Amino acid sequence: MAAPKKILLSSPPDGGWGWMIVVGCFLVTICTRAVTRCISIFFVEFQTYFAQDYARTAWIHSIADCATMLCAPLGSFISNHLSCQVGIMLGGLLASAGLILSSFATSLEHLYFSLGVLTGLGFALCYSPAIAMVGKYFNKKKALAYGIAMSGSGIGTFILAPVVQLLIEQFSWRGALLILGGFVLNLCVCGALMRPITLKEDHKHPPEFLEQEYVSEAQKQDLKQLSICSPLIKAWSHEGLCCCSWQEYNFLLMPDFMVLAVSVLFMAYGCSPLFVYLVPYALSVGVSHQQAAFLMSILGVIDIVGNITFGWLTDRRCLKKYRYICYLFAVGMDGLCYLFLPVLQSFPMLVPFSFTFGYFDGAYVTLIPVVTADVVGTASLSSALGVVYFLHALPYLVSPPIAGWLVDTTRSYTASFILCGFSMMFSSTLLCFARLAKKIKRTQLRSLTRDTDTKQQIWTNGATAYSVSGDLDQKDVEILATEANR
Amino acid sequence: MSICNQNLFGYANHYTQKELVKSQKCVIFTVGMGMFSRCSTTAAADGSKDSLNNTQPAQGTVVFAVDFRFSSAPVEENVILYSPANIALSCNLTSPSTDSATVNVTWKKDNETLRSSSVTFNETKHVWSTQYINQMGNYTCVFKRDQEVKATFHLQVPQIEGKEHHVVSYVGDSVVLVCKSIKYIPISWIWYMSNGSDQQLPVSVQWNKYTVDEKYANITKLKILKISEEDDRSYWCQAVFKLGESKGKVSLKVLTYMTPLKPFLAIAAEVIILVAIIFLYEMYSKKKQMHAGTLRQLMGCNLNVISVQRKSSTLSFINCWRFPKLS
Repeated sequence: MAAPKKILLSSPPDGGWGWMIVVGCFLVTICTRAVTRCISIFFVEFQTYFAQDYARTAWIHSIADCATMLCAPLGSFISNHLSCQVGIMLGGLLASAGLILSSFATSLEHLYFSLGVLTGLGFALCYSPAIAMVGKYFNKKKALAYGIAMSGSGIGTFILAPVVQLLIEQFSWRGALLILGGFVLNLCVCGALMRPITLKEDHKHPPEFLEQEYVSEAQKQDLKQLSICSPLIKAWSHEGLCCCSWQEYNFLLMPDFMVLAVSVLFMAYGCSPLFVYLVPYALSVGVSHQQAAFLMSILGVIDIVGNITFGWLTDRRCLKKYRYICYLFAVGMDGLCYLFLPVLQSFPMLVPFSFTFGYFDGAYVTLIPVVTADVVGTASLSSALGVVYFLHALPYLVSPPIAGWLVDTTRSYTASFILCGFSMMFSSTLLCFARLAKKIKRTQLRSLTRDTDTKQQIWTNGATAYSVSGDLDQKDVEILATEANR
Repeated sequence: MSICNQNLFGYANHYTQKELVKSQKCVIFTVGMGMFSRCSTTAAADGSKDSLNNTQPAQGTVVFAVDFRFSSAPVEENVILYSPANIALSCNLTSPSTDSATVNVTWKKDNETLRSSSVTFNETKHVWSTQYINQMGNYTCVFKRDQEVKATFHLQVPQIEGKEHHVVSYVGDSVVLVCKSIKYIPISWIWYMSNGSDQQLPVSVQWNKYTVDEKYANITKLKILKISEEDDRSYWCQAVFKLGESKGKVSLKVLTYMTPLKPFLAIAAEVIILVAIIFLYEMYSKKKQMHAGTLRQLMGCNLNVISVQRKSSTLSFINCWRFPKLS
């Protein structure tokens, strides 16, 4: 029997190697989200070289973005069954191959495949596993860690946009795509950083197992972490090969998760058109080109600020219990900003709008993984994040064209902005009602049932059981305290 | 006769652009921040491929005037002419009426003094004007008494901007060079390429090498196929207007595939080194933890070793109870 590679920890370390994971996730966000946004810088070159118009060239960006989100569940599936490191490294190699193939493109359709599908698929294999990993390593400072990790897309776009422009000037678009392919290879480095971690809370099981079959249960859990379903598990559980994958996805039936999923659909529908239509709207109300570009820069920079500060804020002890409410507040505020937008008809009024929208946009982006982790727990976080990002894909795809159609038919931006505003406010109110309903149900149940939680055995069980750091004592004390208070 | 008159006193040494653009039957011209239009009965010829002989000059004359005093600095003005027109250049000098000294006036074109009869001099207002200018050039009016003041009108056709930066392409690839003239539509475009020496050869549309695409009249695209090292030179796109021609320059730089490959290989090497370092560090730290952990356990725990025989191997489990078991 091979020596186990996993170290069982009592609770997330909240530091130490966790910060390296945050750095890794930050780099993953730069290499995936920022690079996707910078693809649009190549469009002018593609239009000239292939003699095509803007609409056909813009499909490349849509295909890449859509592929990244649609294949997010595939990414989390691979990282659950192989390992996070292997999944992210594979994704990095795939994305890099896509970019390198694009540098030899001879037609726009070639680019649709290599730069759109292949690169998007590679990014999908990296994005959600990396974010899930951050959640496993942090508990007390989870929101701050996520804030730092997610700010990578804003900072990355800020830095990469002029760099890509410079590369295109020096090496033309073929050379620039080749070098960008090399840059994206750094995803393999991020993958190597993602050291696996197994938390004791992933192994909670009912007391009867502990007493009789604790050996097999531990083996079962370990094997589940390490490999695909083996005959051993089939023998123990008598449920067949689909037990593993079903067990991974049983969070889908949780009512909390279903509510979150529906609200994410509406939220994703509302948030994407602004980045496409803010500049045309500003130009239509008489703002100059430089001022419109300045508005977009404000949005980008304040997005980063919102990521980090909101993450830090929601980690404070007073706000930690109310993270869900902070999330729905941020989404609601963005919806409200949308509803005010048609009234803002001059540059001095659009600047505070950019500040507010950008801040809360960064805020809720940070909290999406945190809220998901709170709903499904860290064991299924990877798969849950895959599903959540998958649900972003379709709204991202249909929302800008629908908004564009509304603008064309009604000849003003009011209708599309109002629709997006209502979509986001609906998402926020849905979450609010769900939380209220849950609270009412809990107060009813509390009077009826007693607490029959499993008693946590303090002894660790595994082929090697020892503490990683010297402060296991303190952590055990904390666990005892939390168990007693439940 | 309409007068476009602008007092430029105080705007010393800066360029003011006045443009003459033809649209349908009216002439619209902009002077600084004002826009004036005057409609004539002659038909305009915009962007069509009429020969230069068929265009008729507009009725009436457009006057470009400069006002200044003896103390002002030299004034420069750019006048862009798209099609033939009657232009009057007027310099108004105001001097104190008590000043009775005579003022010497000369008009120069490109530093040659003009002696034509179309130069008039109005004593009361000191206005000079010339008429029926059909030639581009720099016209200067010079007033001389004890000091000298002058104003220069640069009459020119619309300028074409090429690309300041090189266009980069690779050996064996194809490239498209673009020249645009956004506001004014030229009659035709001609491409030239440099020859090493300062000569410029016209680019002949050979089979398989050069293609000129003129889908829109104000954009021209030269497509060069199967690029080789000798295509690394400058190209000029010449726009032919009714009153003259102007050129824009686009230079092409040809690289081999090795050029971007070097940074790519450098980054790939950096990635491999970092991945190796991280994996080595991980193996090292695991070994360290294993030794440290076992030692700690042995020293502080109630050891309870359970061995389970499982197929051909033995699994050892160490249960360490540091706290009383909760029942």
